[in-house]
Amino acid sequence: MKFNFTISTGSKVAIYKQITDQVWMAVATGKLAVGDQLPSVRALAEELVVNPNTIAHAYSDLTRDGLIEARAGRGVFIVQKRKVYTAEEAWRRLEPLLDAAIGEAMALDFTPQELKVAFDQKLDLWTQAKGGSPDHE
Amino acid sequence: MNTLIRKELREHFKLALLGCALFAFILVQNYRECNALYAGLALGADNWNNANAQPLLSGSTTSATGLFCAIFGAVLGWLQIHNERHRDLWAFLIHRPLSRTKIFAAKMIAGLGLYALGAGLPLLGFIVMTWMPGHIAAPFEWTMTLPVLSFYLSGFVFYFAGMLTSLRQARWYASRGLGLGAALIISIALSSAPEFWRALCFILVGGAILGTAAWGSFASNGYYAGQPTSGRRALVGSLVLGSLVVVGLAVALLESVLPREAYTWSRYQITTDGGIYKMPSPPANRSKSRSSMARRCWIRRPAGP
Amino acid sequence: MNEQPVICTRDLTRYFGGKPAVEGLNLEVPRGSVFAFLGRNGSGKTTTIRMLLGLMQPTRGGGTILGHNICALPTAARARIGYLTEEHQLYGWMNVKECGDFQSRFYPRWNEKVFRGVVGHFHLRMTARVKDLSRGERAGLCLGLTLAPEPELLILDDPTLGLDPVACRSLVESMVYLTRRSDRTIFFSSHQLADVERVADYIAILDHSVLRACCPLETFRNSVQQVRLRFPGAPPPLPEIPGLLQAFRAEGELRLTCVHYNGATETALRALAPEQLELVPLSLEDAFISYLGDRGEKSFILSETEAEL
Repeated sequence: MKFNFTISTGSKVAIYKQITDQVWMAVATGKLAVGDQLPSVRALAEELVVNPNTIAHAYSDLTRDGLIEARAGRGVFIVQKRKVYTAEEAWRRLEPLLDAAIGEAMALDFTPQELKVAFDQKLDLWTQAKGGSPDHE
Repeated sequence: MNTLIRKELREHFKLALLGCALFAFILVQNYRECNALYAGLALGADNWNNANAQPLLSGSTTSATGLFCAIFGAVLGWLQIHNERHRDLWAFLIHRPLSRTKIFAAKMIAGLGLYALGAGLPLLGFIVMTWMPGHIAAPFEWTMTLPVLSFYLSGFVFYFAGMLTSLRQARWYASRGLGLGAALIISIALSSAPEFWRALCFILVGGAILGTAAWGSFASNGYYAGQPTSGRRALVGSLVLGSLVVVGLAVALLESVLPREAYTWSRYQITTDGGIYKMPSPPANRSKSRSSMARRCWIRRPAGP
Repeated sequence: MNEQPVICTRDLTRYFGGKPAVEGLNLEVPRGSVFAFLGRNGSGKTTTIRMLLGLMQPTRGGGTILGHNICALPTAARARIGYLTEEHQLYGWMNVKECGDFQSRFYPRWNEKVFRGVVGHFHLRMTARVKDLSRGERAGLCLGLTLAPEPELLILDDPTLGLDPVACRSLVESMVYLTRRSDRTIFFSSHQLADVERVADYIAILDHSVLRACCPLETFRNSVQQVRLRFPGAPPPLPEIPGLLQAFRAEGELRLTCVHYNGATETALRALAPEQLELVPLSLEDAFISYLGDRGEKSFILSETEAEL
């Protein structure tokens, strides 16, 4: 089962970020499971026609975040996401996103009830796609 | 370097072939004219001229050789550079692990070789035809080949002049053509040289100056600034020589414009009995007056033819 | 590990007549990098490249390439530098095979497999005459001739100019393939920001003969930011903002593009009491255009160094 990366130039998102986002999304939706192998830096660079340093940047970010791991001589694999952040740090990362979403919803004249309903719907979709095994403790 | 020579030969041999054919045609025409002269003599025509008895020495042959060799040499030199003048093609030629001098030498060897054969073969054939007994009813001496030979050698000088004209990065085309003017001066000088070795000197000196100037311009891509010193000096030398042509032209123009009566000149002539007479021109007082150097007697001739 | 840069210029300047084509250029190209040289038409990129290769004398200043002085480049160094010209000019009367044979005689390290590989990648027939080739095919042939001697430094002057998308992609693929060897450096000038975004590690931007930026591509993208401020009514007049590139006013909105957006800038902007202040990400094209385009409210000259600021 090979995962297909797609990148686009001229986007507001940098290429390395597009790759990390795609890996995150794939893991979240279950397209990539723990233990799956990702292509090597060189192979992916030549497939997508981008500079290998960009791929290396993406992979190092993912490694830093604990999503992937490079095993000597064998390749790059998805690993269990290690808890790299403390609870405080994780909340600090999440809070601005919640603020933005709620603020936008308010500006668009959604009521808090509607917002809650929409949020629950989205959450259900996500947990279904993931196969119902949450990583967060 | 051999690869480059071969490439140059391949690139320009068609032009050399064309020149060769043209020159052969011109020489054959001269040969035929000479034969026609003899035929005319046999039939009692009165246009016989001793000077044209030996076709090698006739005015038409020497002037045709001079003109052809000059133009052929200059065009060859000019075209060898001009075909690569596009700056990216020039960069393609220059950017390789071969020194600038060697690249220039390769071009020069190929170009001069093509000239030598293209102009030399028909000339050689012509000389051989006149030398072989049974073709021309006139004496043949090897020294008779010297005039055409010196013009043939002058073509080498024109080759460098043509190269220089194409190389120089000067917006004013006339300034670029001054190299040709220098070659023209050399040509005039050698055609009036009484001995062959003098003509050879002119050719060697002219060739050295123009060749160095061409090499210098080649080394700096046509700009004046980056040249080696010897190249710069040679360039100045050739430009000075070339401007003599401009000066000469200016003088001729001036002379034709000025009214004739603005100046007079006179000539001295000697009669068979030893009397020296001064002949002014235009003739004063409408009659030829002669005055002896000793101013002893004035003899007036009656007016009329 | 601080190696000597492959290309290094010091105050490189060239005038044509009275007009400067390149002025005071100080550039450093790290070994093993893919370095993109950007700028508008006529900003002096080709002139710089010609000076680096010793094809043109600088008016002032100088530089080194592979450790040698650019004004006195030895012939052995030329074997280690590959140069792909803008117009892909070759001798029209030669055919593809003859071009390869001709070029191979000059280089001791000629790799025939590479030449045939590139020529095959662009689908060129060996017997095709150069004057019958299309522009993209000629570009492929020139690339083959440039790559076969396996040069340490590859200088490409606008390699994708006038190429159709397929040929363009083939060329960029070749560049990515070249990065397999970490000792090879690629220095190319281009207008195609999509290609630059794909392959470049570092960029340098030349604007009207003056260097405006020389840094990693990521640094450039992170430094040029767009800030959007929303106001209830008409936006207030703008105070002095260091690093402002462009300001765009609309009904109730103020959009600013600036460099090095930091805490001080944010404070100054918040002092205007906007309803909302948000950072909008920019594509490389937009960042480039606002960096080089006509100035809005202010003219700003910025020189970035490689260090993260």
